[in-house]
Amino acid sequence: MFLAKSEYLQKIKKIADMCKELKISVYIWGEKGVGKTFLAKYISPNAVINPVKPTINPIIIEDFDKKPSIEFKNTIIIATGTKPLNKDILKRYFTMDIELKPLKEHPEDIEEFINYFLSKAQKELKINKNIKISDPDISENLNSLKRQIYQQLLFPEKKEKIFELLKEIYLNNHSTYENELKLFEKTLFEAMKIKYGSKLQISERLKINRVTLTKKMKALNV
Amino acid sequence: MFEFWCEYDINPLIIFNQKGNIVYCNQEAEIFLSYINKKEVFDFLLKNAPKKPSIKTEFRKINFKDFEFNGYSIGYKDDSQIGVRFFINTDTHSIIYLEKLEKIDLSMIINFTVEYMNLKQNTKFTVYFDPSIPEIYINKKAFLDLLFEIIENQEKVYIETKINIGEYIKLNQKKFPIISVIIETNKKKHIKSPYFEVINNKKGYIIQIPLIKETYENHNT
Repeated sequence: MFLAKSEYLQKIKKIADMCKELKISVYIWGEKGVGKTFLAKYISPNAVINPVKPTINPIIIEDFDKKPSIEFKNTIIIATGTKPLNKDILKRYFTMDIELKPLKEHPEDIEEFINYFLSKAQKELKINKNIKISDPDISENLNSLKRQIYQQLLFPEKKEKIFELLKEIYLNNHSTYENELKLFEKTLFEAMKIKYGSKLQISERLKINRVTLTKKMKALNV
Repeated sequence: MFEFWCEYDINPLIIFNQKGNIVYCNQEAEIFLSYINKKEVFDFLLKNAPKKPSIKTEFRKINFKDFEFNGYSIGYKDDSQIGVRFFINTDTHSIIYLEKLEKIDLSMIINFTVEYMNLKQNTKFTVYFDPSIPEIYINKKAFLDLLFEIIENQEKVYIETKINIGEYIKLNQKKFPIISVIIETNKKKHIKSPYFEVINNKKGYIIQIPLIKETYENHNT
């Protein structure tokens, strides 16, 4: 399935469709996680990825820019990489190159991708939970977005589960009593700060003396 | 014998009388004069003729419409007649027409070029496509490379395709009609291709493609 809400991706899709029909060798480049291999597979669905021996099928070569040579001849070559190729090399092996821009340059598509990954993850993990992603992580484009969705889906709902996880971690490594408590306190205070804002409120809710709270917060750098 | 050589010389040879009428022209010049007005040629002669009765030869690029010459010799003995011999451009290379041919719809290739170039740069395209052109065998990669090279960094491009009526090209003892892909644009450089004949003119370029509907064995690779 090719998701394309933005005008930019629709253009890419149109070109990819034509490449498919014309059987053209293409070099696709762009940042990490923009969907280069996906596009390559879309252009040539029955291609062999990173083949070791010659094949009659079209081939897809990943990270072509790191090692720009092809050991065996093939009529249709689709390669991916993170950097644009030198013009001579490009002309020798390919007809054209397509640049896939990072997600931040066509943010209209982010929502579509979230919905797509979410439904896919729900099916895969058999979790019927709805989550809302208000702050999509697109630092590594689709890779980080996908990770974020899975993480949120698998996030434990009950506190007990978190403590169970913590227990597992403590079994493997731990620091001193004081440090561990500090870490816990810091997390707690940070959360409270976001939730309530003022120290007065926090002290009331947590049932702790305000002066003690202020001291502790200062010491913990909250 | 002299006349025979003059008649079949590959360089056009024309002799005018003082009124500008043609006294003699060889076969090559006949083709030339069927496209170019003789007055235009006569004026050129008068402008570039030597001052005294003699022969003047000069090598420089001269153009008459689509005809391009590398030089000319103008000569006369007396006032009654003047002759000219143009030197044809011998800077031609043999073109590999029948290699790596693939059956392709030409309109699709051109549409593809338009889409692709629109993604890479902002170019205004006007395309007129002759729907009577069938699917043809063509060296796809070379053709696309050529189109990309022409259209690269252009702001406005006009593309028209048509079948040249009455013009043929002979390849492997077979006659093929010619398709012209006319590309009018801001011409920046002289473009040559080892696979296609490219005519560089003032307005842009004309790519001439043989209309090959079927291929013979060994060429369909």
